[in-house]
Amino acid sequence: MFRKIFSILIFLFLSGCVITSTPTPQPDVILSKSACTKGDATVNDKYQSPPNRIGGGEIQSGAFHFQFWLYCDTDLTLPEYANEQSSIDGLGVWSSWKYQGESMDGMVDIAFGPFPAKTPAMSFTGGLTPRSSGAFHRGIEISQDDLKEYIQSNQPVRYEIRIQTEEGIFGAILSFALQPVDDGYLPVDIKIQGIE
Amino acid sequence: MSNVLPFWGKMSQTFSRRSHIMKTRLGRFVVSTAIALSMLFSGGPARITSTLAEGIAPPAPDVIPAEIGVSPIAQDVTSIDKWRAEWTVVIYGQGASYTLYVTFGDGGYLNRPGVAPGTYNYTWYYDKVAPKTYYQTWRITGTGGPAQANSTVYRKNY
Repeated sequence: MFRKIFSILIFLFLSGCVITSTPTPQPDVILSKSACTKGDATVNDKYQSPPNRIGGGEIQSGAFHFQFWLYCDTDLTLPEYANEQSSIDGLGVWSSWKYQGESMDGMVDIAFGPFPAKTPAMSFTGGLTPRSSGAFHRGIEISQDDLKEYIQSNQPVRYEIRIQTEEGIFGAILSFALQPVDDGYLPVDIKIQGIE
Repeated sequence: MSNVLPFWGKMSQTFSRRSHIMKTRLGRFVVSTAIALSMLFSGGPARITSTLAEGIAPPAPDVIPAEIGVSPIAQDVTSIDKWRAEWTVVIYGQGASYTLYVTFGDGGYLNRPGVAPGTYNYTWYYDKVAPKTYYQTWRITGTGGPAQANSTVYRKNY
């Protein structure tokens, strides 16, 4: 009888050790409320430039001029809640391109998404003419698990826009880090660079 | 008998009757009054001249309206084809080129100036979003324009 009670106690003790040794799950990556307070709300035309831009910029790549912005948008919510999805509630990525070269024929393929942008975003026939332009904007399409990995490994989150034409490949990359603060994470060190 | 008279016979009969009427005083009065009234109510020679002048002016050349056709106007997209939507777009018009402006319903757009009339293919990916209907507008501006076509894409949940 004593042995049975003793073995049960040992079992419970070991079980407790196993439970307590399980790593604490990392909290979800949510946007700090202070992230959007510095947004540039003066730009209101969503189709030409995003409102509430919190970082990014413009860059030239070949004959293409790119804009790449990280921006706040309350319509961008977690996937289970709404149509406009973002794995970081309220945060989105916006990019536009404008062609400034001579007319060229052929197929145009554009990819946009987390780096490296493998998934095509659009394509069309008929080539490019001067002043052709376009834009994409989406929520963050990186899973929470991957975002946590980026944070733990101190790696920046990167998005890419890439245009393939008969003249070559042109594009830009937006990168940012997620810095932990009291009420979530703050996008910092937001940079844009061209692709070679 | 009159039904079988030749044309000249009919004409000679008419002239002989008219000359008989003109010979009487009452007849001359009736004929001159009729002519005067007809000129009065028709507006007279001045009006006829004016109408002719307007008619001589060459008509403005007609511009055939530009048109844009999109096919299909409705389609479903699924994960099987990576939520890819495809359209064939035909631009008709007399202009050498048109500006095409497309909105894809998810905030994305494409602006293409200098597009010649013809047939083009477009592909757009509605990626990583929940089931929803997206509305596209295809608008051209230029000679004979603007013209617009609309289409829809339904993104399915698989």
